[in-house]
Amino acid sequence: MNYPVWYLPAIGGGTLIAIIAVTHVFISHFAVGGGLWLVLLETHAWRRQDKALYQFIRRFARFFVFVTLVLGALTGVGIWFVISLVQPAGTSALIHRFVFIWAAEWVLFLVEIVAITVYLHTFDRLPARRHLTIGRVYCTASWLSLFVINGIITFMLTPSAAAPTSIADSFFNPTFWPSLLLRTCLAGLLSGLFVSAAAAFWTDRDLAGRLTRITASWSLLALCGALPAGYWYLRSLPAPVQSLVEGASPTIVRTLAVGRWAVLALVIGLLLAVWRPARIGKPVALAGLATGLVLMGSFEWTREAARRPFVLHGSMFSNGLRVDRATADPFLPDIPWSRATSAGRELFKFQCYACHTLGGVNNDIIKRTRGMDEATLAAYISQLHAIRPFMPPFMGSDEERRALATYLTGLQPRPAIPASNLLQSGSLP
Amino acid sequence: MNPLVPQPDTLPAAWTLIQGLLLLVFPLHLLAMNSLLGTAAVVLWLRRRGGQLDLALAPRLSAMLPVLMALTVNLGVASLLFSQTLHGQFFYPAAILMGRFWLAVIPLLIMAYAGIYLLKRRAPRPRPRVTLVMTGIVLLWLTVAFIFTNNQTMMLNLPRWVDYFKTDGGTLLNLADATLWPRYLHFMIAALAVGGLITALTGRYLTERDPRLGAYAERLGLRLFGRVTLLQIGVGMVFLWRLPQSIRWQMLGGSMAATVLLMMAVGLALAILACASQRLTILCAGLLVTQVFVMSGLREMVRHASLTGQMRLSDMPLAWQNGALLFFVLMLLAGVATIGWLIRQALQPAAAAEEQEQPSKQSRALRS
Repeated sequence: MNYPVWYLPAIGGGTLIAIIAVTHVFISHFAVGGGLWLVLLETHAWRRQDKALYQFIRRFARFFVFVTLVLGALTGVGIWFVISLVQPAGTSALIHRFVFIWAAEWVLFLVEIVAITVYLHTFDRLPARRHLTIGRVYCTASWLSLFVINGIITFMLTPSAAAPTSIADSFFNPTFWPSLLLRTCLAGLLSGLFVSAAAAFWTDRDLAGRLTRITASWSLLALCGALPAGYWYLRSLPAPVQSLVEGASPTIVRTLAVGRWAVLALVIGLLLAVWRPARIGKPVALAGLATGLVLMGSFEWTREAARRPFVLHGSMFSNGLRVDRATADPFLPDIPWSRATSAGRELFKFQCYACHTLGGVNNDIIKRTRGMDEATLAAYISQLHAIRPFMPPFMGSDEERRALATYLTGLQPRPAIPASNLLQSGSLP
Repeated sequence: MNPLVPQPDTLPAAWTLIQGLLLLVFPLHLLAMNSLLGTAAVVLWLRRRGGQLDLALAPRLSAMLPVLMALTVNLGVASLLFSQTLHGQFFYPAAILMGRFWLAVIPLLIMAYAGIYLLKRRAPRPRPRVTLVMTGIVLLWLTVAFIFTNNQTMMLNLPRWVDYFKTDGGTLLNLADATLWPRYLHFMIAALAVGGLITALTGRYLTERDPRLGAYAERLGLRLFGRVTLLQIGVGMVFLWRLPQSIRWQMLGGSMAATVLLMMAVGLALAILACASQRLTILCAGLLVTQVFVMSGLREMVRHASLTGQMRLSDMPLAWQNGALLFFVLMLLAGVATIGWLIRQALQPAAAAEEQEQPSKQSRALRS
């Protein structure tokens, strides 16, 4: 670990990554599926000579460009910014391994921008077939963008069955195809929810009802595809990761429970939308969209948590330390960015802070260590990885381990001293 | 070697190749960013002037801002990608030291981006409100540019890094750096000059449809472009003077390549001034694009000179990724061809497009 740590102990870097990443993933999947909806609906409008639908598409395209370019593109850059700040070692390793793959994804991103901009501005100017071809160019580029980035994301979780020897091995890793299928289905589902939400705000209620029924049917189909794809994804994970997802990690268990409720709510909502589309007003459509966000958040959170104790599976722990580093060697002398004073604080910052906060909402270490005295905590730290395999092992000497235990127990809230004791003579400083 | 500089990761291709890619995309990012900020500033200026032609020209310039913003972000991504590959060991610590400001770039950009879309959508708003929103947008971009300037100078200012031991919450800026303000001014004035040129080019484009407005825009834009370029020569000299002496001397004879680039930059600036005075708009644009590429090369030389002793190219591990490189090159070629086709469609007059594919009466009815 040769990088400084951006230290926000009450918030935690992981929380920042989660907020930005979940927002981006939600919108970026809409960006992939939404383009397909534009082309399909426009084709439908041309074939049926449906003027009302055509007007809707024109408005929806504006909304689509606004959401995907303003929020989607910039939160995508935001993920990169925040992981550079929170996980610089992992980000640098990934960038150096995949720079040309990322550069290819940048080209696709540029094609997407140009295609959707031209599409938006040529509704009245180009013949239908040409305009639809431009829409298809956007769809292809956006799905290929997902294809490319999927290789990098899945590499972080499952680098390869064997040690990867080439970029192709790293890219087409064991979870590449199931993840791609799952994400494609999720893109279909989420974009359908977005179209439904836009339809709910449309004044032509007849058209809104028709759109709701079509999008709900396809979203339901996408959800039905996502479930077996998710199962395939799970089965493709290495055994230790599977066991984490199946119950060894309390965080994942809670997150998956939320995800299951979201799936159930979506199934009920989508069935209702197919059966009685007129009942889907603005509140229900927005609730559906929010449920989609919860589902996506649950999936991403699970994927991130399942990668623990690694940021790059098998090579780098989630705190940025290399796996091959000797665990018992003194730690702080090797860390040029650590301060000479307060060893316990520095050990927390460089080894625990990547996942834990101090008094924050996410994974508060003060709560986690409540009730432990120094000796118990020091002993627990020495067995950390053995007891909780999803946590990296403590790296450092015995003296440093005790210093960390002293620091953490020192943060515990002190028991209240009865007022009568304070009033006794000699009790005040 | 400063112990705070992290070990670099393995390069996926020769340094010079990645540097070449950076020198290809970064000037394009600068051109897009300068066009964006400069055009927005010109729009604001036109709205404050408030003349009939000013108010007719302002919405035409505003309409370009969303596309310019998208291109600025996209080309910035590529620049940052190649820059992190080359200088990650300096970039990441600098970004972390100013983490709060660095991450603030994202919400600031989102607000500005949303602002220009909203202005475009609801153009017929009361003028004072539009001016107020546009002022806010320009201020947001100026703030983002200031944060970027801090980041890029912090990368080179290793003595400042030790302040991390006093504060590790990402609240540091590089305000005491002698080059910070001249560099910031240099970039912002460049943006204003490009804004003038974009106005002139828009005027040239409008000449056929609206000769009066077109001529006005071209004259106004070139005047702004010329005056600001003159100012830029002064600011550039201050910037040069504020650089550490060892680096300054490299550009004043110490290094042949740096000296030649500086001479080219000065020569181009003078040629631009001459062209602007003669109203040679297209030639001005060509010279400016060349100038931005030359200045980007000079900037890289200053960066490397600043990091002398901290970065030895021969020590950087290298493992060629030929397959991935080939994949990128093929994607780039396919992407450029696709973008070329898309732009042709966008620029094709509606009548010509219809001749190729006869629209039916029904399709006209659908669009009406």
